[in-house]
Amino acid sequence: MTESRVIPDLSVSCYLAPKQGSEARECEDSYSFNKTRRRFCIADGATEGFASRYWARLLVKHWTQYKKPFETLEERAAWAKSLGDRFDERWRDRQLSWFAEEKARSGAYAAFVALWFVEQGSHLRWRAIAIGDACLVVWRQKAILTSFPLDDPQNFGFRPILLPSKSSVQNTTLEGIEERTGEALPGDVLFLLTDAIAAWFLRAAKHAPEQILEFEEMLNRGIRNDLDEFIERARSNGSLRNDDVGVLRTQVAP
Amino acid sequence: MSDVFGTENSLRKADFVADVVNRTIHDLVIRCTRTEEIRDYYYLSVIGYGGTVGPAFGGSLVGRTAIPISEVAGMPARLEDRTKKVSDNAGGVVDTKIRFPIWMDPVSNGATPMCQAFGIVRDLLDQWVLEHKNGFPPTILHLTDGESTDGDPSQVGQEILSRSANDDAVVFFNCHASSRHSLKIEYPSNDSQLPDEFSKTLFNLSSPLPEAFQRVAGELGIKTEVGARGFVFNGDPVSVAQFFEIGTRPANLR
Repeated sequence: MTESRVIPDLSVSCYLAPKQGSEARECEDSYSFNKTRRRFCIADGATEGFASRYWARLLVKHWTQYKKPFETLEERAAWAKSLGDRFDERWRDRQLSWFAEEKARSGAYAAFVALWFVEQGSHLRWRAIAIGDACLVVWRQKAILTSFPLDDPQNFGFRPILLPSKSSVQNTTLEGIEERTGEALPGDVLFLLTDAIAAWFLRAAKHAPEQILEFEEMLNRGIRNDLDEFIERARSNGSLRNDDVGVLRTQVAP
Repeated sequence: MSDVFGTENSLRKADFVADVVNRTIHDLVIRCTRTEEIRDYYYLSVIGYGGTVGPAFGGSLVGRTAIPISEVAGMPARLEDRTKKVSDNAGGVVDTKIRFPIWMDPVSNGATPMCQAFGIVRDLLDQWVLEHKNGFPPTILHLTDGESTDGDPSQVGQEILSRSANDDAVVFFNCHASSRHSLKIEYPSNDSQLPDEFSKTLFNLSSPLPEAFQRVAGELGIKTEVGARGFVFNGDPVSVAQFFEIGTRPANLR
């Protein structure tokens, strides 16, 4: 006798926008996902770093392609070091100006939150790791069930610990990785958000939840102009800090 | 400025000041560096006064004021080879040859025509504010090693203080550097401890330290009271370097 298992499907929508006054190519937020492997992540390159956009893209791309369990510190350190080396390699033989050369010596930094799903019988269980102030928000029945690693909008903007590209200083950060897991029920929505939109989300959930429903609806429809206008309005009325915006929304099929 | 400064007998005050100014400009450039580009977050003017009064940049920037930081970055008078200790990515440090930009060389001269220098600064401000009505109000960092030799600078100094942009007053900080190992007074909130008319004049020409600047002072271990002014008297090399750090770091545009 075989057990019939129907694992719920996952749907994905995403959105990236540069801070007001910047061009799309300057956006330092980045996301990636692999639906087959059920791996999703988002990263926010620190503006103060060197080539942070590239570092953020490297992190998300390689994390979603990664095939091992990503459990131990040694494994995580080896993964981060290989990416750090790859990052350095890109600039090694380039003729840089004195200021780019100086900046490159300090490398890049990024906040990072990664989400994956594991099967548990006929259900899915989510797991997440986070570094810095990019967040996972689990949204169930139009309310926040979990927000991780930050759950208070007041706690954003206090020099979060970020993942550096320089391998010599990666381990301290990796030792501080935060982890969380939870059951993924049909209909649950899991948002991966970079800091500005995460702070907005947490505030809106308390004071204007209809705003989140409107935003989510727009994400579902995927109409870029509507989303851009929504973000512009939120920035204009002061509810959203002017920063890059990165959103990756995953829904467990109802 | 030809006096020996601090505890290192070989260090002339003029050498130290030129080095601090070059390092300050270097750090501003690095803050505006985004990978291989420079964002023009700042425009710089450097006015020197002594035997002559006027713009102090050397090399291709001679005679210029209000220069976009990207141009400043691209046109140092020369690049010097220096050695810097940097991480070897394996837990140690190695001496690495770096290129360090020099925009101005030390100049020492007996005269201190402060009124004339302030007049040039006031005119530059007027021009700047006229062209950038909605811009961020300029910051003026004034470093002197002695009393004005061309009269009382109070009136023209007050004219500088009275300038504003976008409804915010300019920030005017003053630092008096001394070689006499006299008691230094940093960021006082009143003039009761100041020894003479000259120090009180500079105190009265110094803006209150805005909150962001007070925060940086705190990070450098300097305690400031409510109402602290951007003023240092009898500053030693450490206080001169910190003065430039406090005067420029808050404008870190993330």
